[in-house]
Amino acid sequence: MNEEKLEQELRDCFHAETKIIEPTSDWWDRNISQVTGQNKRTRWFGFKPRKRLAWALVPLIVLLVGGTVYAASPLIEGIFDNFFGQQIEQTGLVQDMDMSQTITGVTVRLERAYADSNVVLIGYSAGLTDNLNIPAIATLTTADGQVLDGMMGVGELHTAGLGIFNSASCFSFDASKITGSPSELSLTLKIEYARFQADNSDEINHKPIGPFIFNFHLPFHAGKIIDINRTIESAGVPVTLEKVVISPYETRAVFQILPSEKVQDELVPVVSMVLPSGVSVDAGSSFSLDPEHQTFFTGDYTGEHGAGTLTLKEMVFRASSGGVQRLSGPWVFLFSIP
Amino acid sequence: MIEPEEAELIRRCQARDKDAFRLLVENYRKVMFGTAYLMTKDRGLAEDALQDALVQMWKHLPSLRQGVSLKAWLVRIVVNEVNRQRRKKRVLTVPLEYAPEIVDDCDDAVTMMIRNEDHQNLRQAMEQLPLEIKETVILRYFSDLTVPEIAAVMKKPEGTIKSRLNRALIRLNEILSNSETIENRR
Repeated sequence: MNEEKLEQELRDCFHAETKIIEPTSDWWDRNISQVTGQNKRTRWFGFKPRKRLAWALVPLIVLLVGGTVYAASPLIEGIFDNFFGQQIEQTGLVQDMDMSQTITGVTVRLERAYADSNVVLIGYSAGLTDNLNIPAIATLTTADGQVLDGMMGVGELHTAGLGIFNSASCFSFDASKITGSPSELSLTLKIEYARFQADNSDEINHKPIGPFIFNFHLPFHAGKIIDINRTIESAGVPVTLEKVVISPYETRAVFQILPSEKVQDELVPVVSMVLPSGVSVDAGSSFSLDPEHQTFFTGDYTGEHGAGTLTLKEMVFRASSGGVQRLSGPWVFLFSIP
Repeated sequence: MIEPEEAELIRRCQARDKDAFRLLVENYRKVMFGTAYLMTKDRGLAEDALQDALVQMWKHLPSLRQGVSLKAWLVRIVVNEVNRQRRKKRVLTVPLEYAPEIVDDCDDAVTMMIRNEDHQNLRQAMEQLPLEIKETVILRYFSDLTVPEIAAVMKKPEGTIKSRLNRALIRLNEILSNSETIENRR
């Protein structure tokens, strides 16, 4: 067969093979919504038994890996690295914890933790023994009883041999409720697992396991909290920059933008920051809970000193007609980093 | 090159516009899922990889540089996630009584693949190629990436990619010729 014909055969062959296996619209929509639906409820990525297959297998599932034993710590480090920023691992600020607890045959090991003025990150592994388990709830409480809001959860399940740590999970919690600059935090982590348990019907019961409770102390990397409380009006819309929090994990800018006729639902502020060193960085993500809007800049800028600028370039929001509208500013805030 | 409409969608994505993200990735749904499927030959693994890839795309779109081919960037993330899934080495063994259920659950693609005799020999020949060469062929002839784009995805020099493609075509021709000879002898 000549080269050109073979190339065309390959194209045809691949297209024939993939023609009928596109993901369903339901699957696609659900996943896009999950990916973009960043909010402050606990989210769970990567830990997803395949739906029909998983349901069918849950009663008698056997999980095996061909002779390979996975250590849990690399899993945890991988998740920290992939989802919570390499700079945290690279600077060695993440604390090894190595605390474990076993309840009804399930062992949970608190492995890695980190705290600063923006986030508390928790990484733990679990040995999932006889059934497929999923993490249900992870709650983090400070010594003075403040329950920190969960921001995001990620996890990986490895089908390792029975009784070893074959799953790893990381959660991030919003640390903005922590006041002052304590040198360390006293925290209580509560984890509750659900175990799939089949009865004679088609239903699967979720029998809770736990709670696994860990009390521990964690170094607190305060970073720099810069209170600003300055209001600037542009395009007829007043915007208040409340504060900028620079921590090793990220920099967070907190705005107040009151809803008005001009600015409507699902507002996303487009923000950039110029640091004293001249480095310019765009906000990587944002979170809005009217009227408060937070934008997040990935990277450790705690070493910066001097005058910086935060520019809210424009606001993107959903108009009452349903379309996306934009309102250009800019709203420019000067601030000083001590 | 990124088309102006895509550039606008990317800009909106970078402003965390969810609708824009939906529109942007929708255009590449087929190539992303198809690439994952051809690499894994398993619908479930392909879905796992694509799901994680979508998370990475949403997370890293703000850092997408101008002038980068969007399709190559998206496929690169999919390939990375497929390789990450592979490292998990997920193997499920199940009681036999559940086997029919699983066969039902497996996609019709497997059945169709067997039925489609026109391409069966070529598919079998593909399976005899070393993994990295097979993946290079998938990226070239299914994902329709250029040699420089494949080099970027696979983190190899362009010369290596050209050589892999050349070797793949020669080897496939050899395998197909041999199978034809065997068929003729019968």
